[in-house]
Amino acid sequence: MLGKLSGVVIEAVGAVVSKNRVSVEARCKNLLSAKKASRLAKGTGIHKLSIAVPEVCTSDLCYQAAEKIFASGWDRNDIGALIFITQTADYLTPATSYYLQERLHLPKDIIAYDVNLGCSGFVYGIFQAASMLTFLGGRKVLLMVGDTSSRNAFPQDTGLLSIAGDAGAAAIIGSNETSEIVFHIESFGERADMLLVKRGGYRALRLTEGERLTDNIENYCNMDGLGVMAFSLEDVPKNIEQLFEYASIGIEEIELALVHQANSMIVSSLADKLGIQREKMPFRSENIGNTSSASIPVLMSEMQRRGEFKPFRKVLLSGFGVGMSVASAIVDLSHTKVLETGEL
Amino acid sequence: MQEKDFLEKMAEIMDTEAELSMDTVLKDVEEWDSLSYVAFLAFGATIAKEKIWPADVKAAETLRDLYNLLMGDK
Repeated sequence: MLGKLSGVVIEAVGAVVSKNRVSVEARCKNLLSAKKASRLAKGTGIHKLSIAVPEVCTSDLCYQAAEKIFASGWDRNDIGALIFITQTADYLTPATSYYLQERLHLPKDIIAYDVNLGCSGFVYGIFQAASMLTFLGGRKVLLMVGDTSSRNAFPQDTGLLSIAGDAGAAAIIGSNETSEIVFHIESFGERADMLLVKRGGYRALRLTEGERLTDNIENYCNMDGLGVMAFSLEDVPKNIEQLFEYASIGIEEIELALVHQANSMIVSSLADKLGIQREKMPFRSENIGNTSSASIPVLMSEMQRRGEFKPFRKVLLSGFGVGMSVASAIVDLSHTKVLETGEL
Repeated sequence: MQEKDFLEKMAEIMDTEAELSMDTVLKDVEEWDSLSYVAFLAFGATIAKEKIWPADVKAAETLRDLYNLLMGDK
């Protein structure tokens, strides 16, 4: 779906990663020689991973990110809706957004729900928030996104072990008279098996031995790496090109392209494929990893931490992955307050 | 793309010090693994004339097969 939503602005963005950083070599210990691990890290551009300690869940990382935003001037009583986007919720039921509402002391008079999405989740969340602003009559949306994907990596699968990191992020979406966001969202259900955690839902129970998960790939995320790569370099650029065409914007007019930080190979190839200069499409997850729906806000907060974030006016956002799903948008970030990356 | 440039690029993609020729059998190169598959696919996506299918990359036996995929001549 291609379309525009007017009167919407991303007011604030914050992201939180784990204090615990593990090198790819340590993560793939006993599976890869030091030489192979280093070659892998060089290829993906990911050298260390943010790995949440066992007692920390996605909701804890997102909670911290939201509190950082409230501490920097936003009022929690202005929130009219809370959307929590994750594939790693606290419980199967109820939605984690209700625990977050209580924990963040948000008003009772709000809309709250969870959404199960991964790498396209941040852009999807902006779309959902933007769609409901008129109804909220001046109140704002608190969007929270993130995953502890490292826990979904099969202990023998170096492909995922070497890239999956954990993070949570929060953003405030509010109204503004002049801003407009153009979206292009597509779904490719015929490829739903490309990133699949087969067990743990209601179709197939997780296999366990006592409290431990059985060493079976079906308990973990099974990724078709080549299929995901082909998707990222064929379907994603097509989606972005159609977005530019619809918005009547030349690719050269874009000041910054913030795309899902899958790995540096995908990001640089996507830049080359689209004809966007690599400097305009940064990769800043070298010491964090691929953090699913949180990766775009993490990129923003990492740029802020390094003094690289400026009030960019024409920015491409593109999240793509599990589903398979692509959500891209052209946004104005010149009024967005971006906080530096926090740690938990 | 000339064969010489292709061989240099393949040495870079596989990050290998092995001596490469167009007739090199891929399974004899230790570094021709899943990381190299995706790196090749990424490279191919930016320069190939026609879409390169993951199954064709996996099925390739020699460097010449990969070259032919890039040049749209399988």
